[in-house]
Amino acid sequence: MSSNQHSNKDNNGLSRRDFLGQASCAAVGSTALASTLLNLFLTSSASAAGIRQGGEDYRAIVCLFLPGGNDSFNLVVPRGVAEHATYARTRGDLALARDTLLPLDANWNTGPELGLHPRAVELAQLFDAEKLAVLANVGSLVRPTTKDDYRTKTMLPYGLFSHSDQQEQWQTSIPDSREGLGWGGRMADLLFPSNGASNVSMNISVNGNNLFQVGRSVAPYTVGSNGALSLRGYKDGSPYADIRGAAVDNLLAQQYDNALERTYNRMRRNARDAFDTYQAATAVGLPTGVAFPDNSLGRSLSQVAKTIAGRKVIGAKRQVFYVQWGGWDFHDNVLNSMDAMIPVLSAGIKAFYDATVALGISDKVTLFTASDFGRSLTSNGMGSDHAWGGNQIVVGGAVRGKRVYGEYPDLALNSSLDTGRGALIPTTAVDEYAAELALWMGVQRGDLNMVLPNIGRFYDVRSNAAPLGFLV
Amino acid sequence: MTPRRYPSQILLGTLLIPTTAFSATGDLQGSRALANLLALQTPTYRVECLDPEISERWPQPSYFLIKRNFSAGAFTVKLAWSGTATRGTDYRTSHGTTATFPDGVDEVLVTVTPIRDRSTENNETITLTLSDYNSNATGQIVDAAQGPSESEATRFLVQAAFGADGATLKEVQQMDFDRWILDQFSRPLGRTAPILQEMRQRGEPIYHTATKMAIWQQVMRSPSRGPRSRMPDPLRQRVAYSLSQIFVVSQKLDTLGNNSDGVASYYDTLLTHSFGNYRDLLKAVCLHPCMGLYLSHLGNRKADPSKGRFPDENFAREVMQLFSIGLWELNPDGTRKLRNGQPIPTYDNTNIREYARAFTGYQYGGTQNTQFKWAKQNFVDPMKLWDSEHDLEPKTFLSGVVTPKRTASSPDRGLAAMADLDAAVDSLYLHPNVGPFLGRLLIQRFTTSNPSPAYIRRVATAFNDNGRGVRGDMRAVIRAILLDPEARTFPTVTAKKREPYLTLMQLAKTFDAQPVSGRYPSATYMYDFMLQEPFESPSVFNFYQPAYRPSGEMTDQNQNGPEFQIMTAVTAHDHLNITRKFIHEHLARWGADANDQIKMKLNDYMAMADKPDQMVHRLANRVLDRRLNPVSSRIIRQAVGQIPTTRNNWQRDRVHMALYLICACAEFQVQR
Repeated sequence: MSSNQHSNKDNNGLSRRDFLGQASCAAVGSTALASTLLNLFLTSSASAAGIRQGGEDYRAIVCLFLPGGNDSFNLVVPRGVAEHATYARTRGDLALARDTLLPLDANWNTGPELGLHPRAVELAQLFDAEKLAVLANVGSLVRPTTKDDYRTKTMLPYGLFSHSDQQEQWQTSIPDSREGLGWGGRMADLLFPSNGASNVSMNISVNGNNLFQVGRSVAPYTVGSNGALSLRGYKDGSPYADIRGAAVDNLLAQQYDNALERTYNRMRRNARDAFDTYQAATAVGLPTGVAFPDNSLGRSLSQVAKTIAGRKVIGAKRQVFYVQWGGWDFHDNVLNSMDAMIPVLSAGIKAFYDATVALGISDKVTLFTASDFGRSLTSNGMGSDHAWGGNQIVVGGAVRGKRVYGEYPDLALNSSLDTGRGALIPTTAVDEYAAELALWMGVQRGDLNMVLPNIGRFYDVRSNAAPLGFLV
Repeated sequence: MTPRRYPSQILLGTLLIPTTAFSATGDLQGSRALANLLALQTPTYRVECLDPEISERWPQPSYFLIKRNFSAGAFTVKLAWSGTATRGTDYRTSHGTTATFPDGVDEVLVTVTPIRDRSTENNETITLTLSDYNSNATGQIVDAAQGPSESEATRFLVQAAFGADGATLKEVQQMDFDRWILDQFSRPLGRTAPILQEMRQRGEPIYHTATKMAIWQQVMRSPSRGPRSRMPDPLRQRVAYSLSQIFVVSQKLDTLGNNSDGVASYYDTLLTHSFGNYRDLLKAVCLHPCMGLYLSHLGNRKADPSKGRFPDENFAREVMQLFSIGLWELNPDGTRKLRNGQPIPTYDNTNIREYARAFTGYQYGGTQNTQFKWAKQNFVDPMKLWDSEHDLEPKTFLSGVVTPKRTASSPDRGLAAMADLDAAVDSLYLHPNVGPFLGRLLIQRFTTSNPSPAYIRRVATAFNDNGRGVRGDMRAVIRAILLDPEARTFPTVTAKKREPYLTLMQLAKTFDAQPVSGRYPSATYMYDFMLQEPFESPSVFNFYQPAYRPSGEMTDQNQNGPEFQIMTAVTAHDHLNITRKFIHEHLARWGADANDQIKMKLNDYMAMADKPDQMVHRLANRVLDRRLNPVSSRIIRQAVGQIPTTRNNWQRDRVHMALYLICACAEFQVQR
């Protein structure tokens, strides 16, 4: 969605998109959500049925979440002379010098000329190789939103500018409801039958439990960046391990009368059941020559690559990964901190892309970034505060790269998007970003509103055009 | 009590075969019974009391176990009930005058449930006798007037402290809950900073683990040692530990990582106000340099629009969202107020900017700091406020609090900034959300993940007025949480996944795992095993969020389970792996100096390893807040019994097996 589109109102004060949105949302408003979820079971095989069972039909998305709110207007920066001057005026002591930026010579970009943070060297290479695309000013929206909507507090996301809420909303894509399921989870609910009877979940996290991957039927399998971990003394040949192992199994088989006890036992059973398969799958390892940086992001992405390498052992045709790295909440010292973190991010993403090439499936794996929010353009004295829209990147062989999607905004203070201190109203919704990924993963258009109940407010699911077009 | 065992020597060598053993069985079963005999086992039937203490006031079922030493053949034994208590009047039983062993089963669990009466009586006995086999066992019904039974008191201490070590258990049983709480209020403060001073005096380096070691040292103090002035304060320690998960600062921030003195000072601040008033607590948190650094209002300056510089909004936001009122306007019972069916935000970005302007002019304190610029680091003294860097303009806060344009004090003593701070703190302290918001957070740390609205309302009411017109009295809040009917009713209605870190402290405390050195370096670096350790939160949002719901039925039923957020496929195993290591060896990530080893004292249980059934229940009753359920009980007792007495160290291995399996079951991992 662009700003002209949502200012294009008809006499009733509704844009065509708004109308479409409300029509299709009538069935899936938050009160009706429960019944939608019930329907989900009836239709869960529709999307999954589209996935070929013979031969290899594999696809995976990797959510790289940057918690704390990446100051992404310093990751993707205006490089046109006039736009950079505006940027520098607004950002004050947070501005990067124009001549240090890595130029982004885009094949397609309707906005200003852009550059990357000077230390994002590998990302610039991937952009030039057409494997990386930029998504400008994305964020959580209840519907296309104007500055008047903001002033009058009309249809705004819950808990705007707060970490916990905005993280949650990026992960649920339902910013007007407290939703216990993530869009990666809801997507997996539709697609997991394609993975057959695998005892390893379709959704795998290498960095902790998260809302994004929680589905109604699908519970994420959360390992560490070093993989899974065995229960020691359980049938492992140590003294009395057989006795202990049998007793542990019997304890785990018990049915309890309390939901917390049952949940504890179920999570333990899942950990036990998935362990052997996952261990065997990841023991295969990566092709020689594939290397990851020796840091926590490198280890996490390496673990994802190993899991992808072992996908056939797991029996997976679709996988959703979650990687989380860094703490980006720089209320202070933002420039130095980003100088230290951007190179790690950049090198890690490049190493991951290279690994998928070495595995021969680079066009089957798409990595995308997400973060709580962008940060205020103004400075609080070498730091920035919580804001709203931000820039993201997508990387992979299926990405129509070297392009900028969405509208890169005017960074002047008091612009039509500025809610104050340069906290910008997003011009592309998380729903659109997620819809593109979900369709690519094989969710049927007719099922899309089960993954993204608000999608109709931004995108006509009956249209033939892609939501944003960044994936082939 | 010790149940009398079957006097087996009488039978030795005589191969006494009860003729009835075959009476109810067919030929096949008879031949299996014969096979048992050919293996030279003497068929015995005996009864044991697994849970000798049965409480009228806390009438959970307890168990007598009738066992035979073979399993083939169905068989019925006669039961005789005697003792000073009367069956049917004082207690109910699952079995009347007979108990039947099904074929293939070697035990029958007989459930005894006390009946509460109104009369005050002496404790009464229940004796179950197998008259045909000369075996009996006796349990005791504790009268309601006797105060909490061991089991009820243990449950209380799992909620309120660090589990039931023998001495604290006795205190609670003697005083009952409310008097114990009141007694704790008057205990001397167990600060951590002096422990760091002692370490320094001994010439030990102060690593970033020092505060965690000091917390362990305070938690592990035993009531039996020393005069009252040196009595431990487990309730206050548990409250401060819980507050550290609400008013979060973390040593994952490098600048705090190497500042154990600051973090100890911060913990002591929480300890100081744990039994004080919430307003003082909130103000002290606002002024503590660790918080100033963590949420970046330290060094915050008034706006300079010419340089595009505005006050930092970080602390202003989180002090509202996390430390006082939360995001949504709440009813007194913690449910959200609605307007046109929509929840009402408590504040918006305009409010945040007003508070951000108030939190300007904050700098390191201490006498050595005489100007805002170039201040020297000081993590112990409260931050100093400077009017020269403070926004003096009028501000509009919540709760209708408005500040006037202020005049800078001269010389600059930060008086204008302090007046704004007091007004800001008042505006939050007076907000009607604090009672239900903070009440729910604290309830979740002690008793249950899903308090009812009525429970929250009762706690909020205590926050609003302690009964003597005082708002924010933490003592009233703590009493309301721990003494609430919802926390104290049987059958229990509460449920909470235990915090993994607390399970380690509980095991150490319950089994007196004091290291010889009195120091706790071995209890540190625990975060990776369980994603939890004091002052190691990954962000200001704590290790887990109050409304976290694991996928599955809890999500479907809107049931919160914060602690499940840190239970992954890795930590589910790792937490048990470190627990197993603790049980088998000692608590440590790596090897530990012998004097520093945190090792449980389990000798009493090893001494009864030849009675594995009783031993398992004795252990379980020390660490669980309820009985092992019959199925878990049988699984664990059987596993323990399979360790042959012919092997070296069988007593030790049986106890280790028992305790590990108890810790591995849902009865331990979820408190009820």
